[in-house]
Amino acid sequence: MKKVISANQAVSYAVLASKTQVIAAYPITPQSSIVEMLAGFCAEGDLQAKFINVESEHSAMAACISASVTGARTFTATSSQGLALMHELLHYASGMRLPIVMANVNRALGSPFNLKADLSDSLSQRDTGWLQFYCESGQEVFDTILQSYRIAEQILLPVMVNLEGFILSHTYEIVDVPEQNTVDRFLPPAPPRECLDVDNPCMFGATTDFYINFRYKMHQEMEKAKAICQEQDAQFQKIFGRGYGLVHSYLCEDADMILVTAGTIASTCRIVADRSRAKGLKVGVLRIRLFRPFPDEEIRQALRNAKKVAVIDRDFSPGCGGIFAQEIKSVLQGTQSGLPVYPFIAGLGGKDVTDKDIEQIVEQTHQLPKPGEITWIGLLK
Amino acid sequence: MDRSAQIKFPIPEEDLVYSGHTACPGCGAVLALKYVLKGLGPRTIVVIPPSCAGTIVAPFPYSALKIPILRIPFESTAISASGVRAALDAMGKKDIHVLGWAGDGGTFDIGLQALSAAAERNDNILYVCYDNEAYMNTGIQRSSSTPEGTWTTTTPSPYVKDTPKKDIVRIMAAHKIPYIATASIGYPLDLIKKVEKAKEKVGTKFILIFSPCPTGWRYSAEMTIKIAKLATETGVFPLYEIEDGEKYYLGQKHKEKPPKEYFSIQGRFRTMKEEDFRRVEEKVRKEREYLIRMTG
Amino acid sequence: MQRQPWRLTRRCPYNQGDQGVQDSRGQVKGRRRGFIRRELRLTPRTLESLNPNYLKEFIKMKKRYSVKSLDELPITAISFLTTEGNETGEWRSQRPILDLEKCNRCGLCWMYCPDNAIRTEGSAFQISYKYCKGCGICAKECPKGAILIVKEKR
Repeated sequence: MKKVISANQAVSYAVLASKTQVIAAYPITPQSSIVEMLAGFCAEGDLQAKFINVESEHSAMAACISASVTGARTFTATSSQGLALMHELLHYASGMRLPIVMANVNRALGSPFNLKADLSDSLSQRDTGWLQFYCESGQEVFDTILQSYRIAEQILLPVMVNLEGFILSHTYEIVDVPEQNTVDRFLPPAPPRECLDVDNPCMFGATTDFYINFRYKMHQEMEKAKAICQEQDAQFQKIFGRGYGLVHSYLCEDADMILVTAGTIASTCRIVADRSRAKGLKVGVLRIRLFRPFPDEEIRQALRNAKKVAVIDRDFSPGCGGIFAQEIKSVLQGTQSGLPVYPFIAGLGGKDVTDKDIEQIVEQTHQLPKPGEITWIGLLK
Repeated sequence: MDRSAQIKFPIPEEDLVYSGHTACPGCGAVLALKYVLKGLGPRTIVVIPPSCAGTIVAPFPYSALKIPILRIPFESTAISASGVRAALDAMGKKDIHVLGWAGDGGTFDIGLQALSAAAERNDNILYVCYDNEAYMNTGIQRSSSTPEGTWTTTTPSPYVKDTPKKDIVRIMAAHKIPYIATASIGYPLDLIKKVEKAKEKVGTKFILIFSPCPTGWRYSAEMTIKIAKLATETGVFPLYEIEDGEKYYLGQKHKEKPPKEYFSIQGRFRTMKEEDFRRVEEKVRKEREYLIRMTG
Repeated sequence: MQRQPWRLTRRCPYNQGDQGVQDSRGQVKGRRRGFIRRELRLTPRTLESLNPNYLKEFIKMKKRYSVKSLDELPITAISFLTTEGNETGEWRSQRPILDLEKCNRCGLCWMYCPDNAIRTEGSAFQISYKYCKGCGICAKECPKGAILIVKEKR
């Protein structure tokens, strides 16, 4: 049924549809409405879940970890500061191989304090072993959460679904919330796995010198994860009629210049790409949806015919630059030698990335024969 | 001696701790765990943070307990127990007990926030703190449970700890949870009775168990039980219960022995002088008066 | 009852295709279609599943773990052995000797042993030197002085 809802509400509807059993979350702007709505569902009995009102995000993730080890389907949601607070537990959750799904509403990390969209919070957690999706619309957020439970329960690694704060979380769009029985066809109850069981007692999370072997097993699973994400997306497409893929390429086959980005900036880029084509400049847009594991094959495939690549990062790693730019450069290493990557940083702290900004990016990339230093868009003079 | 005399087991016979665990010889913590598990039975899940207990239950691929153990991050004992409880309830398994088993470090210090939150929510867990009065697992560093005048590696002589032991029982009583008790490994039957009483109640239950540590307290290992008994007999560690934060029940093991007897046999109190003993006696007397008054 | 995890074999009723009703002890009650021998006690309500092959898959999943090869390792550090293979008796520098003549079977040594090294044999207590760490608590607490501590000969 089509509803006009915000992406935060879409998250809550998706968790309701997934029949999650334990929810533990702590409010933080701009995620609070997710938690409020889920508390409402639990209170009214629509969602048969235990809702734990925790006292910090660290405890929220600890509750999810312990509930997940006991065998329940769990969910939490957070944002920048809360995500950073749970950092040690993100490693714990992936190391314990737990199928936790978390919605992270991207927000800038202080200091200085800023409440608005910035992808640095989740990208700075890229080494924690969580799968990461970056969504562009409320519908995609809803669908990705459903897919995430299937993926997580299959490969036993946790999944983080990212949506930009305020730009997505608080704007209202049409989202098709399907009937429960359709969702049940895609997402059955979780398959059996090792968990805390008094009839088969064992110890989870022991100290071990076999550590490197467990990390290797995680690596093996991450290698399979891309294929499984594709598979689940295809399955989703069959049942619901819409799919997203690991990356979304728009007019990339014949493009001379490809703009690579993630999240809602891609929507603006597509409009500018159309305008540029009208003016004679062949521009394409590649939106990266799955960030961990990084879809290198798909990206190489999408960029194979390009002559220039401009990467627009809504994130920043001090001392290194844009994180997507770094990843794209490493993916292109050893393949098309000479494909220049023009790095741009824009939109940090929720600064609007307008069509004028993207046109400036296109213009600059077109004019410069070689990529130079990182170009920061939107600074004061 | 009549060879056909029957064995009398002073406490329940079934044991849930395997031999071969890696505790120090004479360890009080593992005795506390043994007794509590006798009280709870095999349908229990225990969450253990990094602590002596975390090391005692052995590394992968071994386990020293006959029940499922979840090793959790340090500050999350109480919330992890709540998470396990929530999952069990959501899955319909309401007859399984959930035990949060933390040391004094993971309770008085780093885990206090989560414990206070769990108590405020009145989650249905049994939280047991085995108190060996320092961060023993990492090498005898002081915690807020370390008594005044104690040597530890982070309060070396002559700069021994100069602040008193944090009164965690009063803090928990302020949360008005259904059941709080102090217990000691010197009185196993009393401890087991308290555990059995706690497991019948619904809500957050807190038990503080006095667990002497030969390695950290600097005494010869065979004195563990004697020291545990002395602590109660001198009034340094009184045994009492609090129900709903208001009704106090005082144990009957106090014997009015001078606290000096308790302090002088432990190496960690080597620097204590006469005025320190007088101070402690005064404090013990005041505490006893307070407890008698609260018992009403 | 000595329970060994992973080696418990039970014959339990299982009603294929019908999850049955579980009582508070986890026993499945329902129409019996026969017995199957399995290594776990069935708790079909552990995880909801619409899968009729749930039981077979669940049992297969509990494969024999070991640390001998990557494939035999569990996916994360899940302990599957007990500490009974660890002979902590090696730690001893002194050992207790129990004099059964003086012993009045009060059970205090059994109660106070941190290592559960004092076991029963018939109607007598017996010290397991495989596990005894030599702490000396038993000797200290024995009301009859029936336990003597002597230096360990090595």
